[in-house]
Amino acid sequence: MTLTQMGSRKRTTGFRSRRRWELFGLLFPGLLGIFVGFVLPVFVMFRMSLNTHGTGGQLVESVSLGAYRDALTDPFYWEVIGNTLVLGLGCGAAATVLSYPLALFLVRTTSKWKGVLIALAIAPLLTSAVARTYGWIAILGDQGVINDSLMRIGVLDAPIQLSNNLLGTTIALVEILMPYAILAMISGFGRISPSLEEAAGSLGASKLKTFVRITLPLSLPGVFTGFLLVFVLAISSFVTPRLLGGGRVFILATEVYNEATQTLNWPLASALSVILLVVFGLMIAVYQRLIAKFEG
Amino acid sequence: MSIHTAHLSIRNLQKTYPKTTAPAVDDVCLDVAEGELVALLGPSGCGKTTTLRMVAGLLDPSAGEIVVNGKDVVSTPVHKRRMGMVFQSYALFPHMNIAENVSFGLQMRRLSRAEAAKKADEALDMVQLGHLRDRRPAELSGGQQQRVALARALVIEPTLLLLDEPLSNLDAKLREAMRHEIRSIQQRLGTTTLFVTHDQDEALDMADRIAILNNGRIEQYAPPSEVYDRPATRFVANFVGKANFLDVENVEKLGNDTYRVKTNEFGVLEVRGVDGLDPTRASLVVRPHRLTTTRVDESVKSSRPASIGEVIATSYTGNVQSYEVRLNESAVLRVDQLTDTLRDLRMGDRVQLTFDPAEAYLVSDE
Repeated sequence: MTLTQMGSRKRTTGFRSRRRWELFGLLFPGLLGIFVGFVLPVFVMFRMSLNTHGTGGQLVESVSLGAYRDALTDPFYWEVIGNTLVLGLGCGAAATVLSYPLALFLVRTTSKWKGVLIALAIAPLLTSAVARTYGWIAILGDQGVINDSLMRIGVLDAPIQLSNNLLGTTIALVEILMPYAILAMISGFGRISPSLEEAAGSLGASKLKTFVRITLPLSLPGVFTGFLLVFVLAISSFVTPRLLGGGRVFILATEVYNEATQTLNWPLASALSVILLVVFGLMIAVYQRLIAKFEG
Repeated sequence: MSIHTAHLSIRNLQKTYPKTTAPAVDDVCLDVAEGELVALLGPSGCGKTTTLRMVAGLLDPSAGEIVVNGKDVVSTPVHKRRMGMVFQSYALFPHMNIAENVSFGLQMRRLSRAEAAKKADEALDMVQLGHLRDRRPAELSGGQQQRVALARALVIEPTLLLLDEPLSNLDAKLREAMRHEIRSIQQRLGTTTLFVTHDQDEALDMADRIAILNNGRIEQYAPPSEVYDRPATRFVANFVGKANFLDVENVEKLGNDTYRVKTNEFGVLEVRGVDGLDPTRASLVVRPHRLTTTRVDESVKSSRPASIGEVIATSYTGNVQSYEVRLNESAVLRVDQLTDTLRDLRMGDRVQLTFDPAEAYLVSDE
């Protein structure tokens, strides 16, 4: 290496390190916001989960795994965790399956209404989940549209249970969360070039085979993202399980609320929150594995 | 790979896209003999890709027939047409490795896995990429992807090979190498081929015949040398190669393809031209390299038609030196000559231009 090259290399290193400081400076406000608004609260919550709940209901500062022991030895909480997973997986699967054709259509259509159609697909997000949940209560309730109609035409003698249970909650959440799945899939499908399907056709693949061998595998990353998003939003949802569950659907989010506001057992509420975070974390790890496999 | 080829006949093919009035492809007729490579050449929007996509079965014609080996295939769906198509973007399947990409078409044809793998390997060896069989498309260079796409299209032993601007995403050097590789493989296999391009050099270099399209219509369908030397229309002369156009008057027909015309710059000439053209709407084409220059101070009396003008621009591209020579207000002619330092002309030089009338050609103005 000649002298001039060394000199220039030194300059670029100096330049790079100055640039690194500039970048850090630019990122700092955002990092601070994340730290104060996100990392710190999670830490506080984790610390809280290590405290204990006194017999008189008071908070006792300590470092113990008591709250976790309480949560994980009580069969009720295992049922709550099970319900949470069933709700998350059920909503994820149903929303993904129902959103897939919509998203594929919205990506592929050449209609001049494409923009309007996409806006319509996500327009339900403009209404609050509370209003939409009450809408579903009116549809799924014992005297709701479905039961009332089926009984009037004589299909049913007694109403079928569509509300105040996990099924009704799942139905409503699927509808409420579908826009997220559609959005995630639209962005995931954009990279599937229609010429790949044309190529498959020219090579002798029928429409069905083209879908199974080309379109579906290439769309999986978008599908996984949509599924993950719906799963995460479903297991952390509170309003819909609370209202449509009628107090009879027990999932982690509603139990955290109960423990925190009614029983005032904050360590247990925190421990349940941490368990919920672990479920998130596991799901994201699975997601990353799958994405790496199908995008690599 | 065995030779499995076809005769293609496109008859009165027409395509009008919904909500448009002018057809994208308008009454196109084209006969392609077995083993022939035909280039569909034209500017963007001329209908060449639309034509190719209709032959492939990716687009339904509004009217007309596409006859392959005597059978109209218009109603045959794309996956039953057995046509090997190479896309401009190559369209390699990103989630499959190279060998899987190439054997995809064979698997669709229900060949056994082992047989498909064997044929795919042969096809990859043909394009000299056997060593990359386990790579993913994204790990290959543009030229390698191009060759994989070619192998994938050829391995199914297609009745027709359809190439849609296959070289336009490659850099200039590689493009020229790929031209020869594609052409030699095509000739070796004897596969009847339709090749869409907007690059006249590519068409002249590779094709047995060139169909020049403009506004959805074929302007001329002929071998490269004929397209270049005897263009049917002003559009063809302008699109293929470089052309000077001289205004003509008093066009007088002498024989089937010979005319006597009067030009302002070179006087009365006897030239060849398109049979049956409209004498009131014709121009004389003189290719830039057919013109010769002599400095006025050293010019000798020429038996050839001659005209004197002034050099107003020069350009140098290595082996060719180009000049623009102004003969009068309306006529500026381009002259190409092989670089020759002894005859180097400068801006402002007065020169005499001459050409052999036998090498000029009278074309229709439409």
